[in-house]
Amino acid sequence: MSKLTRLRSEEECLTGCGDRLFALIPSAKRRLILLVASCAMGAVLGSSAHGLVSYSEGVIVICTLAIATGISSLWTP
Amino acid sequence: MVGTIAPIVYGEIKSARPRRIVLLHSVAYILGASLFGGGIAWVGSVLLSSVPIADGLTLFVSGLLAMFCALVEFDFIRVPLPQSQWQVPIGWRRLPFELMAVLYGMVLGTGILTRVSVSTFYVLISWALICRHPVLGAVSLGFFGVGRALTVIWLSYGFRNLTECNSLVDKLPLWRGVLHVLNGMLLGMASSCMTLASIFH
Repeated sequence: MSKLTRLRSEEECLTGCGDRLFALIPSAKRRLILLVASCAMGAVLGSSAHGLVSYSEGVIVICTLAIATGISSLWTP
Repeated sequence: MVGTIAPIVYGEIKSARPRRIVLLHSVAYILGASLFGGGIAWVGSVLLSSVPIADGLTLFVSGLLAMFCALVEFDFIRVPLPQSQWQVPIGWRRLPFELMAVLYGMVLGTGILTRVSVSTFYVLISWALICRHPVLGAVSLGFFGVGRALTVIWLSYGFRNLTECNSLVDKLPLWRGVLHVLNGMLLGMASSCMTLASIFH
Protein backbone atom coordinates (compact mmCIF):
# COMPACT_ATOMS: atom_id res chain seq x y z
CA MET A 1 0.00 0.00 0.00
CA SER A 2 1.42 3.36 -1.01
CA LYS A 3 1.81 6.12 1.50
CA LEU A 4 -0.92 8.18 -0.19
CA THR A 5 -3.41 5.26 -0.09
CA ARG A 6 -2.63 4.61 3.56
CA LEU A 7 -3.11 8.27 4.44
CA ARG A 8 -6.45 8.31 2.55
CA SER A 9 -7.73 5.24 4.35
CA GLU A 10 -6.70 6.73 7.70
CA GLU A 11 -8.49 9.95 6.82
CA GLU A 12 -11.65 8.06 5.83
CA CYS A 13 -11.53 6.09 9.08
CA LEU A 14 -11.22 9.31 11.12
CA THR A 15 -14.12 10.91 9.23
CA GLY A 16 -16.25 7.82 9.87
CA CYS A 17 -15.49 8.00 13.60
CA GLY A 18 -16.38 11.73 13.62
CA ASP A 19 -19.69 11.05 11.87
CA ARG A 20 -20.63 8.32 14.32
CA LEU A 21 -19.82 10.55 17.28
CA PHE A 22 -21.69 13.45 15.71
CA ALA A 23 -24.75 11.21 15.49
CA LEU A 24 -24.66 10.93 19.27
CA ILE A 25 -25.35 14.65 19.58
CA PRO A 26 -29.14 14.92 19.45
CA SER A 27 -31.24 17.30 17.36
CA ALA A 28 -33.13 20.22 18.96
CA LYS A 29 -36.25 18.09 19.42
CA ARG A 30 -34.33 15.25 21.05
CA ARG A 31 -32.43 17.71 23.26
CA LEU A 32 -35.76 19.16 24.45
CA ILE A 33 -37.04 15.67 25.26
CA LEU A 34 -33.83 14.95 27.20
CA LEU A 35 -34.19 18.22 29.14
CA VAL A 36 -37.83 17.54 30.02
CA ALA A 37 -37.03 13.95 31.00
CA SER A 38 -34.15 15.01 33.24
CA CYS A 39 -36.33 17.72 34.84
CA ALA A 40 -39.00 15.09 35.49
CA MET A 41 -36.46 12.78 37.14
CA GLY A 42 -35.23 15.70 39.26
CA ALA A 43 -38.82 16.56 40.20
CA VAL A 44 -39.42 13.00 41.43
CA LEU A 45 -36.21 13.18 43.48
CA GLY A 46 -37.00 16.67 44.75
CA SER A 47 -40.51 15.78 45.87
CA SER A 48 -39.63 12.43 47.43
CA ALA A 49 -36.43 13.51 49.18
CA HIS A 50 -37.26 17.20 49.69
CA GLY A 51 -36.56 16.91 53.41
CA LEU A 52 -33.02 15.73 52.83
CA VAL A 53 -32.35 18.23 50.06
CA SER A 54 -33.76 21.24 51.86
CA TYR A 55 -32.28 20.32 55.25
CA SER A 56 -28.78 20.23 53.75
CA GLU A 57 -29.47 23.39 51.69
CA GLY A 58 -28.85 21.32 48.58
CA VAL A 59 -25.29 20.27 49.51
CA ILE A 60 -25.80 16.76 48.13
CA VAL A 61 -27.02 18.06 44.78
CA ILE A 62 -24.27 20.68 44.59
CA CYS A 63 -21.55 18.12 45.45
CA THR A 64 -22.80 15.86 42.62
CA LEU A 65 -22.71 18.80 40.23
CA ALA A 66 -19.23 19.69 41.53
CA ILE A 67 -17.81 16.23 40.75
CA ALA A 68 -19.37 16.32 37.27
CA THR A 69 -17.91 19.79 36.68
CA GLY A 70 -14.50 18.62 37.85
CA ILE A 71 -14.55 15.69 35.44
CA SER A 72 -15.77 17.99 32.65
CA SER A 73 -12.65 20.10 33.21
CA LEU A 74 -10.83 17.45 31.22
CA TRP A 75 -12.20 19.30 28.19
CA THR A 76 -10.74 22.64 29.28
CA PRO A 77 -8.32 23.76 26.56
CA MET B 1 -2.47 20.11 32.58
CA VAL B 2 -2.79 16.55 31.42
CA GLY B 3 -0.09 17.30 28.88
CA THR B 4 2.24 18.25 31.71
CA ILE B 5 1.61 15.59 34.33
CA ALA B 6 1.13 12.58 32.03
CA PRO B 7 4.60 12.78 30.38
CA ILE B 8 6.22 12.75 33.82
CA VAL B 9 4.25 9.68 34.84
CA TYR B 10 4.73 7.80 31.57
CA GLY B 11 8.23 9.16 30.99
CA GLU B 12 11.60 7.74 31.83
CA ILE B 13 11.20 8.45 35.52
CA LYS B 14 9.73 5.25 36.92
CA SER B 15 10.45 5.48 40.61
CA ALA B 16 8.12 6.43 43.45
CA ARG B 17 8.34 10.03 42.23
CA PRO B 18 5.49 9.96 39.67
CA ARG B 19 3.11 8.51 42.22
CA ARG B 20 4.08 11.24 44.68
CA ILE B 21 3.65 13.93 42.02
CA VAL B 22 0.18 12.74 41.04
CA LEU B 23 -0.78 12.58 44.72
CA LEU B 24 0.56 16.08 45.39
CA HIS B 25 -1.18 17.40 42.30
CA SER B 26 -4.49 15.80 43.30
CA VAL B 27 -4.32 17.12 46.85
CA ALA B 28 -3.47 20.58 45.50
CA TYR B 29 -6.55 20.45 43.26
CA ILE B 30 -8.79 19.72 46.24
CA LEU B 31 -7.04 22.30 48.43
CA GLY B 32 -7.23 25.02 45.78
CA ALA B 33 -10.90 24.31 45.11
CA SER B 34 -11.76 24.19 48.83
CA LEU B 35 -9.94 27.45 49.58
CA PHE B 36 -11.73 29.12 46.69
CA GLY B 37 -15.12 27.75 47.77
CA GLY B 38 -14.55 28.78 51.39
CA GLY B 39 -13.41 32.22 50.26
CA ILE B 40 -16.44 32.76 48.02
CA ALA B 41 -18.78 31.70 50.82
CA TRP B 42 -16.98 34.02 53.25
CA VAL B 43 -17.35 36.92 50.79
CA GLY B 44 -21.04 36.01 50.50
CA SER B 45 -21.43 36.00 54.27
CA VAL B 46 -19.87 39.49 54.49
CA LEU B 47 -21.76 40.99 51.53
CA LEU B 48 -25.13 39.44 52.33
CA SER B 49 -24.92 39.66 56.12
CA SER B 50 -27.49 42.45 56.27
CA VAL B 51 -29.76 40.90 53.63
CA PRO B 52 -32.51 38.72 55.13
CA ILE B 53 -32.57 35.44 53.19
CA ALA B 54 -35.61 33.27 53.82
CA ASP B 55 -35.28 29.51 54.34
CA GLY B 56 -35.21 27.71 51.03
CA LEU B 57 -34.35 30.82 49.02
CA THR B 58 -30.80 29.54 48.42
CA LEU B 59 -32.27 26.39 46.91
CA PHE B 60 -34.83 28.28 44.85
CA VAL B 61 -32.31 30.74 43.37
CA SER B 62 -29.77 27.96 42.67
CA GLY B 63 -32.52 25.91 41.03
CA LEU B 64 -33.46 28.76 38.72
CA LEU B 65 -29.83 29.39 37.81
CA ALA B 66 -29.33 25.66 37.18
CA MET B 67 -32.26 25.75 34.72
CA PHE B 68 -30.73 28.71 32.92
CA CYS B 69 -27.39 26.89 32.69
CA ALA B 70 -29.17 23.72 31.48
CA LEU B 71 -30.67 25.74 28.62
CA VAL B 72 -27.19 27.07 27.84
CA GLU B 73 -25.69 23.57 27.88
CA PHE B 74 -28.45 22.25 25.62
CA ASP B 75 -27.68 25.15 23.27
CA PHE B 76 -31.19 26.60 23.53
CA ILE B 77 -29.73 29.89 24.80
CA ARG B 78 -26.47 31.32 23.52
CA VAL B 79 -24.95 33.68 26.07
CA PRO B 80 -21.24 34.44 26.35
CA LEU B 81 -20.50 33.49 29.95
CA PRO B 82 -17.79 35.48 31.75
CA GLN B 83 -14.50 33.60 31.93
CA SER B 84 -10.80 34.23 32.11
CA GLN B 85 -8.74 33.56 28.98
CA TRP B 86 -5.57 33.27 31.08
CA GLN B 87 -3.57 30.06 30.83
CA VAL B 88 -1.19 28.64 33.39
CA PRO B 89 2.38 29.77 32.63
CA ILE B 90 4.31 27.19 30.65
CA GLY B 91 7.47 28.37 32.41
CA TRP B 92 6.35 26.62 35.60
CA ARG B 93 7.35 23.33 33.92
CA ARG B 94 10.95 24.26 34.65
CA LEU B 95 10.30 24.29 38.40
CA PRO B 96 11.05 21.23 40.55
CA PHE B 97 8.41 18.54 39.83
CA GLU B 98 6.85 18.66 43.29
CA LEU B 99 6.53 22.46 43.32
CA MET B 100 5.22 22.46 39.75
CA ALA B 101 2.55 19.85 40.57
CA VAL B 102 1.38 21.80 43.64
CA LEU B 103 1.35 25.18 41.86
CA TYR B 104 -0.55 23.91 38.83
CA GLY B 105 -2.96 22.02 41.09
CA MET B 106 -3.70 24.99 43.35
CA VAL B 107 -4.24 27.41 40.46
CA LEU B 108 -6.28 25.04 38.28
CA GLY B 109 -8.19 23.79 41.34
CA THR B 110 -9.84 27.20 41.77
CA GLY B 111 -11.40 26.66 38.35
CA ILE B 112 -12.01 30.36 37.79
CA LEU B 113 -8.54 31.55 36.81
CA THR B 114 -8.57 29.68 33.50
CA ARG B 115 -11.26 28.91 30.93
CA VAL B 116 -14.47 27.25 32.12
CA SER B 117 -15.50 24.21 30.07
CA VAL B 118 -19.13 23.93 31.23
CA SER B 119 -21.60 26.42 32.69
CA THR B 120 -22.32 24.06 35.61
CA PHE B 121 -19.40 25.75 37.38
CA TYR B 122 -21.39 29.00 37.74
CA VAL B 123 -24.11 27.18 39.68
CA LEU B 124 -21.46 26.02 42.17
CA ILE B 125 -20.02 29.50 42.63
CA SER B 126 -23.40 31.18 43.03
CA TRP B 127 -24.55 28.53 45.49
CA ALA B 128 -21.36 29.00 47.57
CA LEU B 129 -21.94 32.76 47.53
CA ILE B 130 -25.58 32.57 48.62
CA CYS B 131 -25.15 29.80 51.21
CA ARG B 132 -22.93 32.18 53.26
CA HIS B 133 -21.30 29.27 55.08
CA PRO B 134 -17.52 29.02 54.49
CA VAL B 135 -17.31 25.37 55.57
CA LEU B 136 -20.15 24.31 53.27
CA GLY B 137 -18.61 26.35 50.45
CA ALA B 138 -15.21 24.71 51.00
CA VAL B 139 -16.69 21.19 51.12
CA SER B 140 -18.88 21.57 48.04
CA LEU B 141 -16.19 23.20 45.88
CA GLY B 142 -13.73 20.63 47.29
CA PHE B 143 -15.68 18.02 45.33
CA PHE B 144 -14.90 19.99 42.18
CA GLY B 145 -11.23 19.41 43.02
CA VAL B 146 -11.99 15.72 43.60
CA GLY B 147 -13.52 15.49 40.11
CA ARG B 148 -10.47 17.14 38.55
CA ALA B 149 -8.12 14.89 40.51
CA LEU B 150 -10.01 11.77 39.37
CA THR B 151 -9.37 12.61 35.72
CA VAL B 152 -5.65 13.12 36.31
CA ILE B 153 -5.37 9.87 38.29
CA TRP B 154 -7.22 7.99 35.53
CA LEU B 155 -5.06 9.47 32.79
CA SER B 156 -1.89 8.82 34.78
CA TYR B 157 -2.54 5.18 35.62
CA GLY B 158 -5.22 4.00 33.20
CA PHE B 159 -2.93 3.58 30.20
CA ARG B 160 0.12 1.53 29.33
CA ASN B 161 2.13 4.40 27.87
CA LEU B 162 2.08 8.06 26.89
CA THR B 163 1.10 7.30 23.28
CA GLU B 164 -2.12 5.58 24.39
CA CYS B 165 -2.86 8.44 26.79
CA ASN B 166 -2.22 11.09 24.13
CA SER B 167 -4.42 9.32 21.57
CA LEU B 168 -7.34 9.55 23.99
CA VAL B 169 -6.61 13.20 24.76
CA ASP B 170 -6.59 13.91 21.00
CA LYS B 171 -10.06 12.38 20.63
CA LEU B 172 -11.61 14.33 23.52
CA PRO B 173 -12.84 17.31 21.41
CA LEU B 174 -15.05 14.90 19.41
CA TRP B 175 -17.02 14.21 22.59
CA ARG B 176 -17.57 17.87 23.51
CA GLY B 177 -21.22 17.84 22.29
CA VAL B 178 -22.01 14.78 24.39
CA LEU B 179 -20.34 16.43 27.38
CA HIS B 180 -22.64 19.46 27.13
CA VAL B 181 -25.74 17.27 26.76
CA LEU B 182 -24.77 15.23 29.85
CA ASN B 183 -24.11 18.41 31.84
CA GLY B 184 -27.42 19.84 30.64
CA MET B 185 -29.25 16.72 31.84
CA LEU B 186 -27.56 16.90 35.26
CA LEU B 187 -28.41 20.59 35.52
CA GLY B 188 -32.02 19.93 34.53
CA MET B 189 -32.31 17.29 37.24
CA ALA B 190 -30.63 19.51 39.83
CA SER B 191 -32.82 22.45 38.87
CA SER B 192 -36.18 20.76 39.34
CA CYS B 193 -34.93 18.88 42.40
CA MET B 194 -33.77 22.05 44.21
CA THR B 195 -36.72 24.20 43.12
CA LEU B 196 -39.29 21.62 44.26
CA ALA B 197 -37.42 21.00 47.53
CA SER B 198 -37.48 24.75 48.23
CA ILE B 199 -41.24 24.89 47.58
CA PHE B 200 -41.97 21.89 49.84
CA HIS B 201 -39.59 23.32 52.49
